[in-house]
This record gives sequence, structure tokens and C-alpha cells, in this order.
Amino acid sequence: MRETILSNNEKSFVEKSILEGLRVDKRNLNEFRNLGLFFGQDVGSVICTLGATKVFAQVSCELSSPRTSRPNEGTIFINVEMGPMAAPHLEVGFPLSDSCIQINRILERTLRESRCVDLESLCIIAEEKVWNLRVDIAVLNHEGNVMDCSCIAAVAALAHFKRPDVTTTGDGEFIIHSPAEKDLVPIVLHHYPICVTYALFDDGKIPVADPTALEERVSEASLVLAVNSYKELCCMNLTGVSLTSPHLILRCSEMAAERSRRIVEFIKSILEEDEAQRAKGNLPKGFAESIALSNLPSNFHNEEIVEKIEQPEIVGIAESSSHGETSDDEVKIIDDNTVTSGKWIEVTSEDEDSSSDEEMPEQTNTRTSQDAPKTEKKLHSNESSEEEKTIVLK
Amino acid sequence: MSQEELYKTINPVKYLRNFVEKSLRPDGRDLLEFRPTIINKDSIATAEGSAIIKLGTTTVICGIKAELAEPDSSEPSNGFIVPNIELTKLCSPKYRAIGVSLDSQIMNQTLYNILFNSGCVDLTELCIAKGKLVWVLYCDLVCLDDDGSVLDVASLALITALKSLKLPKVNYDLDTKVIKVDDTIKKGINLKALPVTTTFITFEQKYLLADPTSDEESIADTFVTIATCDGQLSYIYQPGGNSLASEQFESLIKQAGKREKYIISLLENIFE
Amino acid sequence: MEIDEDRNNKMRAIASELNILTRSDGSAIITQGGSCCIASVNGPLEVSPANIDMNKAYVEVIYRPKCGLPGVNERYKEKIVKSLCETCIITQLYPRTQITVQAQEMDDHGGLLACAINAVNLAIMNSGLEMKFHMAAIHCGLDSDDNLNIDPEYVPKANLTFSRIQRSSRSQNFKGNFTFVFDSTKKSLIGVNTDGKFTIQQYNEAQKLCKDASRKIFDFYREMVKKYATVL
Repeated sequence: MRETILSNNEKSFVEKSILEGLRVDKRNLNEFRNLGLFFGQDVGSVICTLGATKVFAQVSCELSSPRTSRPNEGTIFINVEMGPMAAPHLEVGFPLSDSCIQINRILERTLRESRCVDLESLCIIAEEKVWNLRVDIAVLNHEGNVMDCSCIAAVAALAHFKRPDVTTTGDGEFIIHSPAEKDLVPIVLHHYPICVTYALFDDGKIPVADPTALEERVSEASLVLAVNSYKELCCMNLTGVSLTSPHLILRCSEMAAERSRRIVEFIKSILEEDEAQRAKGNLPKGFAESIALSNLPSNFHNEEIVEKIEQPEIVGIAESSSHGETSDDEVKIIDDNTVTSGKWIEVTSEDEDSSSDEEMPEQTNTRTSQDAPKTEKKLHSNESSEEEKTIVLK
Repeated sequence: MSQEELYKTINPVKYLRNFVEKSLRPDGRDLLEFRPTIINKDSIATAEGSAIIKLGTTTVICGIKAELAEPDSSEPSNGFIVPNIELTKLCSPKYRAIGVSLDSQIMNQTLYNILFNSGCVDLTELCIAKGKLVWVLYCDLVCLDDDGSVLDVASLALITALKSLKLPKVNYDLDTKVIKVDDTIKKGINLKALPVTTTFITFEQKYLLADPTSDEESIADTFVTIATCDGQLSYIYQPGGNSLASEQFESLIKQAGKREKYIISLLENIFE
Repeated sequence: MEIDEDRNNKMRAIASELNILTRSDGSAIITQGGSCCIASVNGPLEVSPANIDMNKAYVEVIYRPKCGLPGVNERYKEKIVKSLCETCIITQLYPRTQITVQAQEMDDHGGLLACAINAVNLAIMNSGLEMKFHMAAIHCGLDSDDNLNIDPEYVPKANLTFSRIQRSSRSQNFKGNFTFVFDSTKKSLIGVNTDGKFTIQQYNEAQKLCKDASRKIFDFYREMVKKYATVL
């Protein structure tokens, strides 16, 4: 089936509202939808919900021969599938749809090429036997921003997954232990990269966080930033037709870093909870429990975080440029934010949030300024939204 | 086109109904009668095991090619049997001309289920050196003519070919990893059971027809496939369609049992 | 009639939620004990010229395993679900259209095919497509001591591997497995799939037990309708 045609009215309505800082689902531009994570009974199975978008991820493992180029490393394979369950116009099988390939590729770059999984620990006998990990991601409901949802699901599933323990007996032999003999071994994750997607509007001037399916279709471009909780950028992807300023990307990456930190915290807290339940000997009830608690319907209330990241700087830039001020101002703003160090993945300010972050690695070459913007968890003030309006109406 | 053919083309359901109301089928059979079965074994000289089966005009040829391979690490002492049936435009216009058809994929799994549910082959018998070397039996089936009941014919072809299989003796040196194939000593594999598959259709809810032709299959309410071996059931499959009364089902199981006895006696004759 | 509630004949707890996917016309998630399956139904939709049927709707079924690529085993299950859907939906009411059904495995603790069929039934019910009857699928296992277990809970041996080698759909935990599907009007058998070897007597007994147990599924469907009908 073909995708339903988007009418011009719908399109211009969404565009115009975004110019006024309004969104169809009442969020403000930097607000994310509710996030939910539900673990199944099996290790490495998780449902991730982002608003109405739902994704199911399952990690599985198997022994095989390693690649000759990397004889002492296991492998990780990621497979994203979007069928008619996700949205009626999507089809399964070959040829894969473009959106599916794109999500798959970005996830590969985020998870595999950032080397977040310790693949060397998956080696049993070099050049002979290694563990192959496979992450299967089934998109259940496509209500926009499948990218973020899949990424969170994949990371949570990998963190939740445990493989059977293996003992090598020398002379190339090994024993795979069943869970009854020896406890399962978790996968070693060096860091948790989280994708954060922004849809760009108004000639690449307005980034909109966590776009819905409608906003995705209307937007000019989409910017995906994968950031881990150390505020390191793992992957960046800009698709679509939009000439975006580097400042905007910097601002977005900063917001993404904050978002990522919170999501990682959230994943860890849920994982701990699940781990504690399992340690107590309570067999996890899996998805049955989620259903019983009515957690899974789109209006669930449990285990959710609401993301509202204040981002006044963007407004600043947009304002200055829209008011036709000199470019010096913009440069100054960049200077204020210490981007000149070249290492712009470290666009971090040593505010309370990051200094309290235990995972912060020692960063020796971080240059910060006192005037750095603070990314705080608070609602948009009326003031700032008025500011936005004035820009638009200018 | 004769009057009869014309009638059949225009109203195939009424055409068949006129026959079955008189307990007769268009090809002259009784409702529960099977078409003549022809079994030929060792038909392909280059294959390790082979058979051609004809049931009426439905024809399936099966050839087994044996290869050596490393076993899967989860089951280090199990060999592999890979049934693969080709259902192409060659045998019936209802199949797709190119590519792997859905029908053949489904039939592959069905054949596999029939074979292993009955416990016919012990895969450990195909092991040469545990974790190192096992036999892979590629069972290639080609349907030459599809005039209904292909599954019955294909499963019989597969069983006959497996029974006629002769594997050379293989010596594997664990230290030097040298494989020596001795072609002079050939041995068959031990089949523990011989499952026989029988397909029935129901027509207009009340008529039960054994061994349907493709014309009859196309207007059937539902299919029932029963595999029996040694008087036990090893596979029953009904994929929806109209429901059957339990008496009807029991009579079908009885028929399938009779058919099994007949086919086994045929096989015994051939492999004497 | 009272259903025998002894250990072997007890059904696992069933929980379900309808309409959990916003983009599908009908959707349902169901858990039966530890097994979990989600299903969505879309239709009637535009049909591709290759599949067009002038007299009735074309039913497409997609069945996805929880891990690994779908293989022949999934195709086999698709075929079963497809014929069952064609039986229970009045496809003649939607000529020259397509109905797409997708089922996704989520947790496998035994009887997953039955679980998937029940999920699909609920999803069709939720989608508002006209149905001839509802269908209830029940799994029954024959253990090595020749005892029949209705709807048993077990963890399959090859769980969480994604191997592409062909496996029999038979679970290693039981020597015989039966999946029976009954309709809601006449309570008669509309579909059956079995694994393993068993006697005629065992088969008949299993069918009888499952037929009795199917009432529980139909009662559950009734509860689901009650729960959702109040909203309307």
C-alpha cells in the first residue's frame, strides 16, 4: 500500500505552528515524549516506548568462527525491521525500505563502530570460536522517531542480555555451561550511546526534538546525534534538504548530551530494579506484568521520564540572525561556548549536572567558560516562548 | 472443447458435485480410492540415493547428494538433512516462474517435520568425528508434474531415496585432520520408521476424497494431511478451512492406516 | 460442564490488551503464562495486481520470530495462520482488497503458535473486520510418561539462538505436541498441527481435552469484549 498523501493544509499547519513554537501534541519544541522500558522474561528482551512509538528488541548469541581480519573478536549484528505492523504502508522483505536501511545503518554506526560493546571479551578461542551477538529490532508502532526508540531499546537489550559461560580446557576444546550449571555472563559495555533526533524546520533554523511521524514527514531535514553519557559524540547523521548552521548542530549536540545522560541513568535504574528482582529469586513476569498493570497502552503512567531541556541559546542565535545583527555576535556566542578548542564533542560546561556525574572521565583538555549555558531540567518559561514568537513574527 | 470440458470450465464445483453425489470421481475412482503408485529407486546413477515416484500423473524425483561438513557447535554430533523441493512452472502453471517460491519453502518445512517427527532418521548416525566432521545430505526433490497430492508423493520420494542411500566409508584422522574416503565400502543408513503421508480433502463439507487431483484441490473446502508410521500417528495437519466431524476424522485416520500398510508392502518388495 | 482443574489440565494465566498500536487498524498483545505474542491487522487495503482476487480479499500474513531471520519454519506458521484467517474472516465482503496480518513473537515459553493464533484473533476482532466466528487455539504436550499436559509452560531448548540451520518445529521438551484450533459457534475443530509421534487414542484424548479447554479462551474473549464494549 502506498503511504497516505499528506495534504498541503496539514503540512502548512504543522510548519506554521512550529514557527510559533507550538506543536500538534502540545509539547514545546525541546520536549521529548514519555519514555518507557519493559523487560521480558528472557534476558535481552525489551519493549521500549517513546510516546506511542513502540519497539521490541531482542538480543541473541551464537558461537561461530571469527572473521579472519579480527580473529580475537566476537561480532555484533543489528537488524531493524519495520513491517505493516509499524505502519500500513511499510513492507517486509526485500528490497528493504530506505527508512529501514537508514535506521539500521545509523544504529550500526552508533553501536558497532563506536565500539561500545567489548568484542574481545566475546572471544573464546582466538581464530577458532567467538560469540556472535545479534540484535533484532522489531518496530511495532511507528509514531515518529523510531530512531531514538530503537537505539534506546538496543542499548537496554544489550545491557540486559547475558550469554552462557564458557570454560576452555586448553587443546582447543571448550564447554558451554547451561544457566543451571553456571550463572550467565553479562555483555561488557564500555559506554551507552544514545541517539537523539531533531527534525529541522524553517531553513534549518529550528530544531524540534523527538519528532512525531507527522513532523518527520513535514520537516526539511533530520539530525541524528548519538551521544554517550561521557558526552562523547558517537555518530552524527544529517539527512534531508536543509542548509544548517554549525551553531545549531553544536547546540543540538549539547542538548543531546544532556538527554543522553538522563536516558542512560534511566536505563541503569530500570536495569538495577530488574536485576534486584531476579536476584531475589522472583522470576520476572515479563510482559504479562506490564499488561496487568496496563503499562503497555499508549497512556501508561508508570516508569516514565519527561524530558524538557531548556535551550535558550538557540533562540539567541536565531534572534540575532533574524534581526540581522552582525556576525560578530554569533562568533562571540560560539566563543562563549568554548567550541574553538576544535574538540567540539566536549562542548560541556562544568555545571552541577556534569560534575556530579560519576561517569565523567577525566578530560584534561576541556576549556570552559564561566558564561557557558546551563542545561537544566525545567520547563520553558513563558518569557522564552514569547521570545520565539517575536522571532517568528519579525 | 468437448461438452464435458466446457461444463467443467464453466462450473467446476457443480461438475465435481455431479460426480461425487454418485460416489464417483471424474477419473473413475471411488471417493477414497488412490491412483496407482509407481516407485522406482536408484534412478540417478550419480546420486548417493535416489527415487522417482508417480502417483497417477503426479511425479516427483528425488536425488540425495552427500557432502562432508563441520557440524553446528550446538549439536556437535548431529549431521544434517536438507530437503529442498522445486515447484516450478514446469509442473504446474500455478507456481511462480522464477525464484524460491513460498509453496516450496512451506513444503520443505513440512517434509522436514514429517521426517523428524516420526524419528525416522537418527542424525547422530551421520556423524563421522564428533564436532569435526559430519555428513550433510542434500535431498533435492523436483516435481515434474503436479496433478495434486504433491506432498504425499514428495515425502514418499524422500523416504525411498533415503532408504536407497549408500554412503562411502570415511576415515577421519583426528591428529592430522586428513579425510580419507573409501569408495569400495558403502553402507546405507538405518531408517527407524517409515512415515507415510496421505492427503485428503473435504468437498461441500460432507464428501471426503482421498488423493485429490489438482482440479479437486483447487475447489476443496479444506485439506487434512495425516502421516502414519507403525500404526501410530506422526503428523496431522489441517490448516483451517471447514471443520470436520470427529467421525469423519476417525475414518480418515483409518484410511491413512490402510494406505500406510499398502505403501510399506510396496517398499518392502522393492528393497528385498 | 466443569473443566477438570487438576494439575495437568490447568490453563496458564491469560492476559491481553487490545488496540495498543495506533498505526494498525486492529492490534492485540496476549500473554499466556510466559509466552507472549503481539499481532496487528490492517485492512481492507489496496491490493497489488499480482494478488488481486475479484471475489474475496487477499489475506497476507507475516510471522516474525523473536530473534534471527525468519526462515522456512516461519513460512510454515504463516501458512497456518493465513488459512485460519481466511476461514474466520468473511473475506467475500471485501473483494479486490488486501488484509495484512502481522504477528510478532515476544517471549517463548511454550505453545507459541497457539498464542499467536489467539493474538491474531483478538487483533481481527479489534480491527472490526467481519468474522464468521472466533477461533481459539490450544496447545497440548505429550510428555515422556504419556501424560497429556494442557497448555504447558516450558523454556525451549534452542531459545535465544538465531541459527539459520533448519530445525524441526518440534520442541524437545515433549515427545508429542498438538495445537488445536476450534471455532466459537460449533466448537468444532477447524485446524490442527502436530509434532512428534503418538497413538490414535492419545490424539483423540488430546483433542477432547483441548476442546474442553477452548471454552476458557472463548470466555476470555467474552471478557475482553465486555471490557472494551463499555468504552464505546
